[in-house]
Amino acid sequence: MKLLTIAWKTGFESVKRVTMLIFLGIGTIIMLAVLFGLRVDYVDGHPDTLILFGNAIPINEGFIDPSAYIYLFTIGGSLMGMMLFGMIATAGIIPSFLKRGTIDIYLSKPISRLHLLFSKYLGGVSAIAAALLYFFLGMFLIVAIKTGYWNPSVFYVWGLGVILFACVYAMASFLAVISRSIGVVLIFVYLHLFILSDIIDSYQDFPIGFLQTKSAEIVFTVLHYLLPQIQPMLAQMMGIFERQTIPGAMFENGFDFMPFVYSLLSGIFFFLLAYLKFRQSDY
Amino acid sequence: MQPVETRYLTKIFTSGLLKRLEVRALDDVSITVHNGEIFGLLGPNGAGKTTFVRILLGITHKTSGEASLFGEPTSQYRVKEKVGFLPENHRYPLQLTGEGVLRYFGSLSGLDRSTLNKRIDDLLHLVNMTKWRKMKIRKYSKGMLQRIGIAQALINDPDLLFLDEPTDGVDPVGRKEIRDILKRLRDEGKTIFLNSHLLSEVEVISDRVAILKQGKVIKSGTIDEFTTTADEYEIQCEGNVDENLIQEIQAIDNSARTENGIIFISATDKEIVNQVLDKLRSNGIFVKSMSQRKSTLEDSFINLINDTTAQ
Repeated sequence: MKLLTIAWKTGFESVKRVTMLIFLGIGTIIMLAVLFGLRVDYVDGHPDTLILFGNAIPINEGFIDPSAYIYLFTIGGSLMGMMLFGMIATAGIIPSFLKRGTIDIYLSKPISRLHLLFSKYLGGVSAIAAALLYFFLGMFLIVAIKTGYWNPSVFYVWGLGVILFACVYAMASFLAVISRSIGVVLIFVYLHLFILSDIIDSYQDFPIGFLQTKSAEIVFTVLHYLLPQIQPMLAQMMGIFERQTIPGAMFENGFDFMPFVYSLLSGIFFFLLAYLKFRQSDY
Repeated sequence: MQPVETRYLTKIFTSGLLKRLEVRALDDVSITVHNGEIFGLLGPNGAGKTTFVRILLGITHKTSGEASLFGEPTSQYRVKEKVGFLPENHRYPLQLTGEGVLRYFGSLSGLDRSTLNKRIDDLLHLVNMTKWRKMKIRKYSKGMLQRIGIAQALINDPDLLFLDEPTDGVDPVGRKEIRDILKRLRDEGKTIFLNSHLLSEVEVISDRVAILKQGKVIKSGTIDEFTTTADEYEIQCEGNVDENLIQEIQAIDNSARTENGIIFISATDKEIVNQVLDKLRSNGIFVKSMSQRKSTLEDSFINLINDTTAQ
């Protein structure tokens, strides 16, 4: 109960932050754009063409579900942006919680340090889950009402998006506990999101001698399994929509759970590290 | 089971790249606080007072020694169900109202909704904040925040209350109110552990005090043990006492001196005091008052700190 109280209050605080309001505002603008920019043309009483922002998307020409096309370009296109905003909105939760004058009050309450840290972590993840749900649910309803295609895969992608964020946020929590600084958290997480995750997945393509060595292979293999696999997870999430638009063209082997499994293990590992550091720290 | 008991409590902070720089914040501190008393922990800045409280509350870890609350090791977080804490420079979520702060931290103390509602009403009344209960705390003054902080510390009706600089930022009227609250709590049987720089306040409300310096307890005892002093008497007379008479008094007690028209004599023998009074009366001087001079806690504190510094 105490855990949920802290998680709820933390999540609620995060949702009310300016960054999160901007995040929700952008989501609303995209939804409104789709609402007004999406049209369905009917021929003989049957839907024939989707018109999205002036682009015609013919129905029944290989599409399994035309709504997936809309999701691919709206939700799929903004997944990374959502991660970035989400991280800015929640990066401060743990560093502010660890500040003198705040942490004293929490630690003077009859709650274990594990519960305290987990409730703050849960609060951050819940805030993002709620914000994503607002956008995904809104998109689902708009697209479904306007096109008549009730495509539930939006909610699978929502769940996977929450898992992706939870894994990255566990790493951010660890960085927050050791540094107690929002700046350090954002720098390292963005470094991973924009640079490291790309390098890990394609280091062999870079024409640099060291990257072709056995040592580099070992280092990047370790990093591949140690850190959340952001790019592979994003690719799988996009693939859910892509498979419904152009069947068989990509992802012939279907959905691959392994990036999520490895990332979840990485998330658990980083959260445990964060807890061990939090447990032994003096405040 | 005493509310607070420490034995040879030591805390060493390390810093530097290889953690080779050591600061001994507490050095073999043994303190016992008894049920139903107000205990004041005094000391100059950096003496280790806050570290001591933080260790008792499990906020900071001890390096060695023992620390217990109600007989339970401080590492047992459940013992904190009986404890309230007002930290120095406390920070609450700014978007909360005064009532919201109490509700939030009350629920973290494990109070159910109906108990919490009653406690919130009672405590807001106690700290005189009922009128501002719905105001966001970001608009509160320092004194108002301190009052809400005290209410927060009391939300779970604790048996043991730790207060770190409770009157910080509070005006004189508010200080008096806080002192009265603390006395009332003591009368209800609560134990209060007070960290404060304001020695005059500690003197007024504490039953016992300990003085920490550089992590060591240099003296502990009751307030009387700190404030009763040598046999110095001050005699206030009507009119001026002339120089010749002072010299005659000094012939009886060579330590006699005058300050702002008051005669001070330091005598271990009460007969000397009588002789001085007789001498004054026989010279037609009217003695308005005579009292045994007591040093304040502040005098004792400064003497003790200076003495140990000199050593």
